[in-house]
Amino acid sequence: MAIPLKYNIGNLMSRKASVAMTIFGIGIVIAVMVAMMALYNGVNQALVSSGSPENMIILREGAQTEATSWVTRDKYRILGSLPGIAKASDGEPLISPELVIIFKLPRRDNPTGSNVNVRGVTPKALELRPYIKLTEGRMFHSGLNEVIVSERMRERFVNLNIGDTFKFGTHSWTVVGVFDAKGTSFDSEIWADVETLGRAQNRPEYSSVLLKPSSATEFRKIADAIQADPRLKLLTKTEYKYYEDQTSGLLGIRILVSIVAFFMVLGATLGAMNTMFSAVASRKRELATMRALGFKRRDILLSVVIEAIALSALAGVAGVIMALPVNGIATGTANFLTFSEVAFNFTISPQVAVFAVGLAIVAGVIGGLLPAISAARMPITRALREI
Amino acid sequence: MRFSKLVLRNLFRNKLRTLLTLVLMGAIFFFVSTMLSILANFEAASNSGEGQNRLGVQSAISLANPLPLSHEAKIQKIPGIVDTAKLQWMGAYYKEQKNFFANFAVDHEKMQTVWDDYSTPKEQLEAFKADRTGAIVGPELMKRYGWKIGDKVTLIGTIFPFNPEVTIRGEYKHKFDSSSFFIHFDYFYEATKEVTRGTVGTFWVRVRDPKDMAKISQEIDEMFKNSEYPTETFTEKEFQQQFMAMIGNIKLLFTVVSICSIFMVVLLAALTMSMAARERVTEIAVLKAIGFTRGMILTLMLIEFVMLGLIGGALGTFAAKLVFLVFNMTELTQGFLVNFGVNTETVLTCLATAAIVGLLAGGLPALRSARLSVVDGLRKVW
Amino acid sequence: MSRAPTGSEGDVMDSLVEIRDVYKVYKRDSFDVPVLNGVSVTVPKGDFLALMGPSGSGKTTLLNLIAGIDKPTRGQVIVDGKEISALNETRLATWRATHVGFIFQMYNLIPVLNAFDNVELPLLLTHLKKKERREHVESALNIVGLGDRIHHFPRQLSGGQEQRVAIARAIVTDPTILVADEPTGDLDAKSAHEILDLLHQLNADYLKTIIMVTHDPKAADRANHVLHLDKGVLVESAQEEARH
Repeated sequence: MAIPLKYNIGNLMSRKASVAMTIFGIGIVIAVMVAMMALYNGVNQALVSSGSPENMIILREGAQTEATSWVTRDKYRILGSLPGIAKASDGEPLISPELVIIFKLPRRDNPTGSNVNVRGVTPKALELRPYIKLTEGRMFHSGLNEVIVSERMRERFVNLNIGDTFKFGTHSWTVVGVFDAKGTSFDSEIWADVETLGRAQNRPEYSSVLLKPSSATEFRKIADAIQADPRLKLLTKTEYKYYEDQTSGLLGIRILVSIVAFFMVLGATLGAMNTMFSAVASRKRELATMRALGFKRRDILLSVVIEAIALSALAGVAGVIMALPVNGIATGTANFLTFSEVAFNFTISPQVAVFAVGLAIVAGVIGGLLPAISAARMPITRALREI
Repeated sequence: MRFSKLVLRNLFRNKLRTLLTLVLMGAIFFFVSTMLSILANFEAASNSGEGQNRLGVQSAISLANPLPLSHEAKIQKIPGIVDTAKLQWMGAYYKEQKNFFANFAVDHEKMQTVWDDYSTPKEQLEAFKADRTGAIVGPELMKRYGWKIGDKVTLIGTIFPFNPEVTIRGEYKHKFDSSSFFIHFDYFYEATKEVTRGTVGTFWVRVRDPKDMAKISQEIDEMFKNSEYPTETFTEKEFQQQFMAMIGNIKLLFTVVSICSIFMVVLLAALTMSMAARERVTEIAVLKAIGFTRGMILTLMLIEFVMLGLIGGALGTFAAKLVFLVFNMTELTQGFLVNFGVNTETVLTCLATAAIVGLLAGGLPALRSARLSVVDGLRKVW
Repeated sequence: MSRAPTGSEGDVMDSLVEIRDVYKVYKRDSFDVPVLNGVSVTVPKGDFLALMGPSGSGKTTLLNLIAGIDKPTRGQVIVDGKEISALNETRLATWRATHVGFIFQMYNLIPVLNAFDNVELPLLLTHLKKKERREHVESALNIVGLGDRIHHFPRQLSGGQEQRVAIARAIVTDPTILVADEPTGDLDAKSAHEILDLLHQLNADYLKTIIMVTHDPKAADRANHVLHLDKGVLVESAQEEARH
């Protein structure tokens, strides 16, 4: 019969101070790991799941991002006349030109400013991206220096409330509305009327063109037609893949975050190992006594491992709780590929929490196994003699 | 010194426990020294142009916006300026996208006047100037790709539809930056005229007297404030730092993470050390009976714990130093971290912190041991 | 109030240790536990005194007071003319280093140090240089008959050998008094006999003053004088003359 749990519980209760210190110590490291995972999560979410696999985005040949791409008006006209494009609500082909300019705007935590994607669009852009909804104010009027901003941008940057004005070069722009882009990369953008933006920035051509083919077969046909025309020199992708490819620009932050998370896991494991080892070492005589009484080696092993699991599970939970305040905090980083800001929220998903606690437990088991084995193995007589 | 045997032998009394503590400390300090080194690296990178009195002029709208070439003539007129130059970031790569490094199109005449800290042997510089499709390359890049002077290299453009085909004419030496690649601005401009249409990414200005830098900086921006192409002028350091700021508040992130890790080590080491101290209750009572004073016991135990901290910290810090000497981080991070290593200042900071960790963790156990009543300690004999 | 039968009142010059009407009360949680209730003793120089009594009689406490590792609640303890009961903790520690040699029941050697280093320990508190310390250690180990086990660690020694190392440690500074708390308590008959021989030799040949707590009558036999304590006071008993 195994060593009763009462023994383990009694142990933990009698060493309240050191148990608390252990839980707190390992917990803090788990908390950092959770925060890192939340950051990673947030960054991922902001990019992937942006863009629809049904939309086609068209850029200049060889361009990696809209910011370094251009599509002339002539080419846009040719594209608009291609067959196979779905119909918009007004009966016209569902195709919309877009102009992406990078503006530097003062960020709340970075007053010198951060690069923001300003996208010139037509109303059809909203039809092509139906998940984007205006939550406050109204859509901008074409021909006017008006913009709509995402919720996140308003939170992160200065002077982006409805009614505020900001300036680039010689032009002033007024915020007239706020939108919610459901956590996609458009939540890091400011939108304006494409023609007005182009005139203000002296850009006669567009950055990209977005269209929705009426079916998957039409998608391929349009793509092939564009490819076949030597005058065009354009490339096509699904909008979804375009955003997926953007993630390479965030490699830097992902590497950093992964390194930190790795060391936190290592720290938690080593920490668990240390504390369990000390706990077991100070109880060698007790455990040897139990063996003398008749408990088997594996009972000892099990007892120690159970205690390790209990402690580290508590540490894991403590870590998640300590990290909770970070959840939802809006922050952002730069995508060095697009050279503009990606706004995202720290996101502690249930998976992250479960993973963290699970990892803590694994760390505790690994950590506790070594001392447990040494305790189970030690010859009874020697252990009894040690003070 | 006379007590060194006692301290050392006690330190390694329970070899496994000491080893575990050292490994934990080592791991954490490996991590912390790496974090600190990354921060130091960013700082050093931003100081790359120290003492060179250079100002960078970019578009006030964003760095991604170009400025008209005509701005340069106006900037030149400002008194106190030694020379100006055009510099265009190309963002091209060599063969594969992962081969990333800084490549620029630059006014070839101005390398000497504005960027003389990128010192190139005279003949090589002349060869570069004479060859329109010539290039000057940093030593680390030469080593990384096995290039030699005279090699023909083709880069693949990403931002501009232009794949420069150049011949390496020279290798420069620079105190910090060994991984840049320069080609002629004319060559670049001619090939990208339709796209760049009379614009360039940045102008760089060499100022004669550092005291004038702030003033000239303001003058430049004032000059173009109300034009279609307003400018923002930075010192070279500020210019570099804007990239770091783009990533986010890395300094805060790393500092918080490091502090949390150290906090954990202190807590856990404290636990281990109190257990160690508790084991030795009788022994300490005997020492006190023999005549060791409270102060002596306290000192001996503190020395032991501080040493534990120092050894663990040293193991981790020097391991990190070794790892980054052996592994070329520039290659591994695809050019993100250049010249990366654990410098002396970081080593000293980490060692000092490790000693303090030992002190904090062992302070209370040492104090309690020193205060132990001899009689009670001896009574524990059964 | 009882008095040790040896040494008359006027013989103060000869007495090495003087206990004057000493009381000791311990506080356990909220209770006051009286352990010594008015004890007076004088121990002449060169004496070998055994303290006996049932458990709880206060004999170990009395020994602790003489050794200077505890202080009386009332009364005075004077050793070699110095009132040690008036010294503060730090001074007392320094005093013990040169005046007292300890011999414990459980030997209490430092397990991480070998025999030589253990014996050297009290000398580290003096100003002696390394060479001089070495001489003293070797001489002490020779006296106890362990000259050949200098580099052994406690775990490599038998119980009897450990106790001898402990005795060497106790005499290495040539202290004023040797105090022993049940020195043979953990030893088998043969080893116990050897240790007692050694103590006897230290007293007879080297004239060390030894105060020993024991409950073993055979050990008490080897002493010059025996004092009995019960419930914190001295008890009348037959006087024993030294037997050789």
